[in-house]
Amino acid sequence: MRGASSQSVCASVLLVTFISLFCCPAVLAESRLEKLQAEYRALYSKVSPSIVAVAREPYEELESRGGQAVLMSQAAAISGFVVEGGYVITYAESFSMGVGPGSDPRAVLDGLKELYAITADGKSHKCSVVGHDIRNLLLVLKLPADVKLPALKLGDSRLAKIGSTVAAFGNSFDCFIVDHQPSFAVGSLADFYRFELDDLHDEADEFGDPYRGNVFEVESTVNPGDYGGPLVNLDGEVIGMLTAHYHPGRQLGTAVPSSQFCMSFDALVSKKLLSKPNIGFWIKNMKKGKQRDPSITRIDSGSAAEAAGLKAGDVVMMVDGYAVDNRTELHDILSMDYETFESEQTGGDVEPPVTVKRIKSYGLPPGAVMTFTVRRGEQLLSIALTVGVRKESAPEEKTEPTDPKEGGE
Amino acid sequence: MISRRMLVAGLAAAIGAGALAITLGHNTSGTTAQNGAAGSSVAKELSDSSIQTGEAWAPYVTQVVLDRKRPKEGDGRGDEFFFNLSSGPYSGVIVSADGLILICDTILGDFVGVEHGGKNRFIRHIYVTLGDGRTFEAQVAGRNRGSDLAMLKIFANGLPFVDMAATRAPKRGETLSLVTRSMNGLRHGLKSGICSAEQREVGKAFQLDARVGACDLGGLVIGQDGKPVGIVSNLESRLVGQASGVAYASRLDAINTAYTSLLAGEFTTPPPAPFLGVQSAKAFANKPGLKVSSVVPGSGAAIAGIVENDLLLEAEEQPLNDTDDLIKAIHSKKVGETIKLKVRRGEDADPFEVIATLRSRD
Repeated sequence: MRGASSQSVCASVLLVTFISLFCCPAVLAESRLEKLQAEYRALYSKVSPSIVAVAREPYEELESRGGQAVLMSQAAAISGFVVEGGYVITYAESFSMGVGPGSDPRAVLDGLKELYAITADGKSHKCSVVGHDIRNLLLVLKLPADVKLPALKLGDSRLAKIGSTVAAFGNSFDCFIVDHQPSFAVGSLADFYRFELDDLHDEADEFGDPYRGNVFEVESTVNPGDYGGPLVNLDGEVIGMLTAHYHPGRQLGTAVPSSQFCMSFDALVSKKLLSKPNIGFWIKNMKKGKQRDPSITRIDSGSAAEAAGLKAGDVVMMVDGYAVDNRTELHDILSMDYETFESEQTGGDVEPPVTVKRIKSYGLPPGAVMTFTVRRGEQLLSIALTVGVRKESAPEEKTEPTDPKEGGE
Repeated sequence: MISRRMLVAGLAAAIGAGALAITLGHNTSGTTAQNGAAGSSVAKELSDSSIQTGEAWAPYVTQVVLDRKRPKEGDGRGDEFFFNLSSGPYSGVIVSADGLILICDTILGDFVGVEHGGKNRFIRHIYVTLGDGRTFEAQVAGRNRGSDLAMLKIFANGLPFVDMAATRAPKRGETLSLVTRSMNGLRHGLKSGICSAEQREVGKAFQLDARVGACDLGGLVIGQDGKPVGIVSNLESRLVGQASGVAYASRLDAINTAYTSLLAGEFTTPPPAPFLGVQSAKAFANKPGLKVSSVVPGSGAAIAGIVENDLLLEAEEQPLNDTDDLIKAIHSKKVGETIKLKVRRGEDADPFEVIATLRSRD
């Protein structure tokens, strides 16, 4: 008996040793994973009370229809988030589209007086529309004075690094309306760029995108209903607003960077005019054989072009990877201001074809970062330029008449 | 060199100044969040490690822009598949100090003339942008259609480069990072995923589950140990552009011959791959035999009389233990050659011999 008992003691000591030798790393690993999950849950708890769903109608109306899609294709409401001062930031395009071809989204948004911000408990708050900036896809609402919701801090997206972990919050497929909770997705910041401009001249192309600002590309999911939701860093600071805009060759969700829309947000809440974009170079065509390359003849002092390091004499070869052949093309690509174009619609058996006005550009938002590739002497250089703010006295576009002769200034 | 560096430094300063010129009017205490030490947060530790992988490999990855004219109706270019996918830009990997850039061959398309100096009616210029902002006009220095890789040459020296010939094989389940420089020449992109399969396309490629789009072609894949394991290619053209969660990257360890020929500046179009025309699966747990589940009409197998439910026992007198044995037997032959198969039809029937001619897939 005694022997058996000591054997079993021995065995259990061995077993304990075995467990501590071989299982501890596993236990540690598990606790590390648990810690990670606890951190994600903490982030959710911190950010989610500031998320709202945004719709034209109050919650009861949406609920009675079972969340049937009225706004975007697959969600009855989109998302928004509360920031300091009782303001709600949300996505403008959901309310400016779908009102018929040829309509000016800015006029449609001007006509928008109130919207509902719906909280997770199913309460609807009638918000007044403070203002909009379609260049940033931005719509700003004001909560009623008696509604106090925790605000998210607006972070500086210029400090966000590629590869960093980010989280997206929103009303994916109306989960907020139907299930009373925001969706929460974690992923990493995959890229930062402007949309490809290649489709600009192909008027029939449906991928031509009037949005001219930057996007963050995110590995976390962005679904219908999420548009307008915040993209936050691990500290819960907003570094972007989720959008419906994406690039067909890329496949991931996108967000408008906060550093780009914050300037407009500040202007809207303080009832100031929105800043106009400034680049600040003068361009003329330099004839070289059959080619007419757009060449910079002068740089305004204090301009974005000067700050970027562009110089007189630089020949612009590409803007954001899109080859530029002449001054007209460069003007088209920059499309600084709101622009439309006429396009013939020849769908089905419609005779004669209908001419519709389509939006070429929402306008270049100040704060957007562009890449200019220039020829300087024998070298080609790619240079980042942050679009500046146009001084009100300065003339708008600076181009000189084409000089048919070869040569400089 | 020095003046160039100073120029780049000057540019960086100017860009910084440009960024500072915009005042946000918000408290931006996010600085520490994104840049600071990992501390005790597991999430931040993982985030920082991912940031570091991207930043460490970004200098080796270039942007590749094809300056080309869009197709017009009726000029016969509408069928060019990549115009339908996306017109880029794409990425490339620097593989020599003197300016050889490895890219995915697909992006050059089928255009005759690319081989002769890299310019033609459709692709006017190829631009390569390095992370420091220097941009070069590139020439096509080699193509290998079989491995879907091509080589560009830029006139530069002293570049940081990746020794792709020394890459190791990826392991299934290994976490991978994909470093690109496509949409923005001055910044890199980073995606992550795992190695889903070590061998695809007869071992030439591995599969990863990062959500890869057409613009990621030519991106550098980094393994768990922080070392390169491959380059994103388009060996299975159905995948790119589908958001399928499936992407292929070329395994440089497996296609060393192709890579060596590319380094030597060769332009090779591979012979068409031999094709038997049967789909089969392992029939027994512990003895040879592959059960034919379908036969492609008009294929070598169909012409030789192989039908559905036939049992393939041997190929070239070697037992067929699994489908890989059959694939190996087929790929040891050329198109037009024959393959000898031992086939059994029915449970108790005697096996008989079939000689099938291998054709090309089309």
